[in-house]
Amino acid sequence: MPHPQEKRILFGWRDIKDIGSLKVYREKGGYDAWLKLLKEKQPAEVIELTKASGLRGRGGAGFPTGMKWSFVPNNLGKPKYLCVNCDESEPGTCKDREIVEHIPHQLLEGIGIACYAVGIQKAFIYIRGEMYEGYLSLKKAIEEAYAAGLFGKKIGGSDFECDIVLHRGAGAYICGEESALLSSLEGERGFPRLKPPFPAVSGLYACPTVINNVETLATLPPIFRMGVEEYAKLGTDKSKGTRMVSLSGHVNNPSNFEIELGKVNFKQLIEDFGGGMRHGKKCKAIIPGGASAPWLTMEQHGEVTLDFEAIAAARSMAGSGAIVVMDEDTCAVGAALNLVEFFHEESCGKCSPCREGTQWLTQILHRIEHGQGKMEDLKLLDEICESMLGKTFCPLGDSATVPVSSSMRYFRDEYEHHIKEKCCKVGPGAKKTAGV
Amino acid sequence: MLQSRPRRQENGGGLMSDVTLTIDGQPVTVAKGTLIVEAARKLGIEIPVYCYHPKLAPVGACRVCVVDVENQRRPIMPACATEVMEGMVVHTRNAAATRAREGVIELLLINHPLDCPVCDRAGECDLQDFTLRYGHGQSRFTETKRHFEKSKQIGKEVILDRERCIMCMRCVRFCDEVAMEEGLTIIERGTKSEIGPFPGRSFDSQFSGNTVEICPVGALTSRSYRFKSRPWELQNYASVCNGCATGCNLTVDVRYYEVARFRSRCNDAIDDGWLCDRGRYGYKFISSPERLKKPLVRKDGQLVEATWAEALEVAAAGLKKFPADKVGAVAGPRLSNEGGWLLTRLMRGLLGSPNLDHRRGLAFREGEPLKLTAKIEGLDTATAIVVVGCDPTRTNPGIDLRIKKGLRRQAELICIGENGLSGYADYRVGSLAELSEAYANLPEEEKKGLNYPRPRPWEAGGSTSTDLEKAAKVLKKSNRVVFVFSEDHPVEGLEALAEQIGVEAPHGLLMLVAGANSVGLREMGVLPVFAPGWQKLAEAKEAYSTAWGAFASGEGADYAAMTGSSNPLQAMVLVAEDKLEKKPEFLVVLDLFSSAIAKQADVVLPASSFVEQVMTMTNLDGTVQLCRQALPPLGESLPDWQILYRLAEKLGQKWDTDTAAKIFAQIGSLNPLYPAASYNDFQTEAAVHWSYPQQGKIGTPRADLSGIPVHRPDAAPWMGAPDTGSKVERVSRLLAGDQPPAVPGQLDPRQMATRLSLVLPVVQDPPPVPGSRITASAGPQAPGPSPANRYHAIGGGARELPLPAVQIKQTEAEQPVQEVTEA
Ligand SMILES: Cc1cc2nc3c(=O)[nH]c(=O)nc-3n(C[C@H](O)[C@H](O)[C@H](O)COP(=O)(O)O)c2cc1C
Ligand code: SF4
Ligand code: SF4
Ligand code: SF4
Ligand code: FES
Repeated sequence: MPHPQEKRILFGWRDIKDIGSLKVYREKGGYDAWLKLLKEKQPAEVIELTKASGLRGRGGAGFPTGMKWSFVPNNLGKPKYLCVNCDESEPGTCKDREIVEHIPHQLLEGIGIACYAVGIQKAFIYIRGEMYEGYLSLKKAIEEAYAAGLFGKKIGGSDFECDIVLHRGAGAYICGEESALLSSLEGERGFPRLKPPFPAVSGLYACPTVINNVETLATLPPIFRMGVEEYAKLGTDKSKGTRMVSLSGHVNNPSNFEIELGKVNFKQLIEDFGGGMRHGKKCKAIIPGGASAPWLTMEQHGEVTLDFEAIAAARSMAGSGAIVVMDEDTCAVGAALNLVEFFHEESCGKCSPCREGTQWLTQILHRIEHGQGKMEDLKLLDEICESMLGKTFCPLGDSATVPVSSSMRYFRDEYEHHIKEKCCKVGPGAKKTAGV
Repeated sequence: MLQSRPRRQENGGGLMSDVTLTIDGQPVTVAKGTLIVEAARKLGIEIPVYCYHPKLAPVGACRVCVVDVENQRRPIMPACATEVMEGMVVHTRNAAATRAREGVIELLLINHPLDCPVCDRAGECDLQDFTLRYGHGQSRFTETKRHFEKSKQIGKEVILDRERCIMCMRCVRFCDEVAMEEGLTIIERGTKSEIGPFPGRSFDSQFSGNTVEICPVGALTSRSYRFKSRPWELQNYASVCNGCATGCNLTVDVRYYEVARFRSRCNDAIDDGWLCDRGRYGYKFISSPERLKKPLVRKDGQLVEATWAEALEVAAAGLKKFPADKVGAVAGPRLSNEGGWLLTRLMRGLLGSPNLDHRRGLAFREGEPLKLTAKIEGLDTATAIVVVGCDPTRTNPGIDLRIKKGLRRQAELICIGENGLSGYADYRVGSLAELSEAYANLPEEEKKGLNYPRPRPWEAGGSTSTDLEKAAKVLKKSNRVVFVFSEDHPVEGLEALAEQIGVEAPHGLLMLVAGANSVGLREMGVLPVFAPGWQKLAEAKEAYSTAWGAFASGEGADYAAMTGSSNPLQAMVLVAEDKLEKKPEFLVVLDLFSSAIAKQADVVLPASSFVEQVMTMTNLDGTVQLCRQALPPLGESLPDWQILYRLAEKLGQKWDTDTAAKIFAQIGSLNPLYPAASYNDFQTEAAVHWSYPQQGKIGTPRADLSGIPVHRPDAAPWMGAPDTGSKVERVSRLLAGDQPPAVPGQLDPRQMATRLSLVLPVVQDPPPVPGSRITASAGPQAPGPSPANRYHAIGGGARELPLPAVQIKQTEAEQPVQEVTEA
């Protein structure tokens, strides 16, 4: 059941029984928006309409979708490709999974709209290997759609043709980074690539390529169903529409919610949507956009609204929409270590600052966490972060510094306590001397 | 596993416009598409690099090259992977750039074992050098380092130490991009990443040594050189590989009178900076105990050691005994141009015999030389490469790599017959005749000049096709076609087809020959039917008679006749030749080893190898190259030309060409193909770092003298940019003793190598052996021959010194033949 305060656009049909089947989706009017565009609009018009909707990428960077499409050159004489980024591996993020598992046809319709707008005849869905349920549901949906003539040649009686390839990843967070995704899809090692050339010009197999997140694409059909102007009325001036947030952590009701951008603040999100803090504890920190987003604190940022600009103004980012809530008993050092370990594990190893830096950060945090830290370590942590930030090949390396720098920004006292007292300042680890 | 994008210039063509930018306050104008690191190099500003290598596509992975670029969202940018932009303002030395670089170096070192004391690379290690120059000097890393099993042999020659690896991926990219083989790869990810062959395989590429050479640290080492030397103990001499006729340039590194290793000495026109393993590790014969060290003379049916005077006497007497038309000579392709020239003079000029040939003869037909217009470099710009019934991969590996370079750019490959490149062929056709016919049958409108793009993966058509018509159409695209064929393969129709296509230099016919100086010997007139330089015998007679006193202008017996079972000759001189089915009555052999033929000879004269003399060779595309002397001749051996010179002396003629340099000058004055040039005209800068293009080549159309330096320890190609501000005084001043040693902390390892290598011969230990003195001088870079820079070095060490006091000098080429002094 949708939460009463949710604004369901993307998830408008989420709870309809069997909406994952083509039959039900079609009965509800699914695919009509796309087929109508095919008949009535020129591709360039569809790009303009998408721009007008104000839709921004939901994969992390929030790049305006229509604008991204318009960068693809038409005159290279090469095929063009769409890569659908369903590698969703950012800790805390789980909205793409819900989309592919429950409303796969909505994603396929969105793919159809994007392909038509950009003149693409082949789309690849790169789905995270672990998302097996999602893979099965997408596979079934694709088969159904092909059987119904919705993909392949002469779609909806028009001259438009489009094919879909479903590809399972092999388990690497970095393969969600768009250029590493392309390498992986081509059968190469999942290493990010140099830019320029940008994928819009030379992406998959050196052809012009659009890479979009699942949520971005799945939002397209409802936008065209309700009308671009209507959608653009939602949200704020620069962050239009709605988006999914994956609320997790120490709240009573962790879940995916669709919210109108700029209309909900963190306090409301936790209280109204998340059902308040677990065990009545106080909220200490919030990660507002996946592990890569700098932490915020409830004290200082409770009133910050969930939209791209407001979160950026608070020196963080809306990222993938994963909101992780930590209660007052959470040790900042332990939490930072947990996140840095993730980045260390997932660093692809291509560039030295990230490869070596994530290891070193992990080692030092580990030491501090286990009561063997030194005061100099804090300066060292700062400086290692400085050596990494802005010097790595891809944003993963930058992200790896974020848990350290942002937790130190707000909870330096906990680090110092760990070093001096050899135990956590808060929570169950407090007082108890940590394993020496 | 190609992780890097092709470099701009790889696509060839395209109008290049210029871009002006500022680096460290200095303006510089470079072509659009230039990388910041190269633009800085042009200004003499060093930017350290690890993953960057000028012959590989940039990857921007190691981040040591970071610079600060104004007005960028992310101002710290990798100089090796960022192209210049108009008005760009780059800082390589400001606080931000310095700090960023220090950070990267510190991070690169956290897992590094720093086992420099037992590391082969120490002294020429980029990690050491850049840490010294750009690191902040102190490690704050106190955690546990990552560990791997230390050395691991991953191929026949290559040993890997994963702990020392900095993951620059140069080795992987070499295999991928240059050798285009599945050689090395990256296993695992993140800090667990390691280099290695694909699981279950070993790294057995015939180009494996290149990965050792370009590895910036001591992670890859070679079995042959491992633990043999320190780089600063080595003296470096520019030379040319003797392994095949490609003529790849190399540096001979000598330690205590022994070759320690060969390294590539990048010549863009020939080898593009690579060597094959056969060439790179093919130096072991030089110090083989099997080498001939003394002349041998047959006495009472036995070959016994003799003095040079005695042996030459016997040889001269034997040759004189027979009528001129019953005397002949055969030379193998190891022989130098100078040796070949004197052999021709000995036969046609002195003995009056036209019977001489070098090993194979298929460079001409019907009395005309072939029009071999192709240059190796032409493969880079070809639109089509046709490999006609030969196997460059096996015979001339350097050419294999160059063909692959052409393929990476724009060429399409047509293979006729199976060869090592068949797997890369775009088209395979059955025969040249079919291809010619298909070409002739193409409709007129399929004119050349059309520029079809090379088929890419997304286009229809696979990698191979037997479709003749398609292959023929490829030849029509442009006249930039190179036909690679072998001297062993019938070439009927090849010239005609090339002519129809209208090929022009540097494209056209590229003939693969087997022996190192096969082409040179042909051009020196070691042929029964041509005078030197492919001149008609009758036409050449006058000039040579004037110069040499006489010139036998008849046509003589050829290789097949002389080495066959019905050999009509009674006396023969065999130089480095191992085929002879019928021994003549009198046989003189000049060779390095006691071959089966030498065992039958009446006189065996020990010859010196190519590293033991100054000499030139002419490679398969006609480039004349100089090998400098790196070692004194082994034992009593002598360069072939000296042996022939002395033989002529015993035969009653004292020639005026008593130095190799004088011979070369005479070649230039008489041979129409060779320029009037001297050894001094060989460029002296070619051995310098790869980043400097070679300038000012001399030569007439056919002869192209490529880079040979004076004695000068050249910078290893794996090193960063050459030093601009020299931190220690020049070698010569040091030798002259008028400068105090530099501040120790400022020693640049390369400068150290320079200094120590020259000081080395002065070492007085082991004690002097009378009669084994050699003279060493600091070479042309020293400020003239003053007593101050002349040292008497005492031989010894690992190698026996020559007993006849053959002088080894850096100016050896100018040294006349010494009187043979009896020991
Ligand atoms: C390390 C890293 C991981 C990423 N992982 C994902 C991911 O799992 N899913 C995703 O949609 N985008 C991911 N992104 C963002 C993509 O690179 C890309 O910006 C996005 O797919 C573009 O789609 P959008 O314009 O629709 O947002 C990741 C980026 C980085 C740097
Ligand atoms: S920043 Fe990390 S993940 Fe990105 S390229 Fe460098 S090593 Fe790989
Ligand atoms: S690779 Fe360089 S720094 Fe490392 S041990 Fe060898 S010499 Fe020392
Ligand atoms: S082995 Fe050497 S060349 Fe290869 S990645 Fe490691 S450091 Fe680089
Ligand atoms: S990143 Fe520039 S040299 Fe490695």
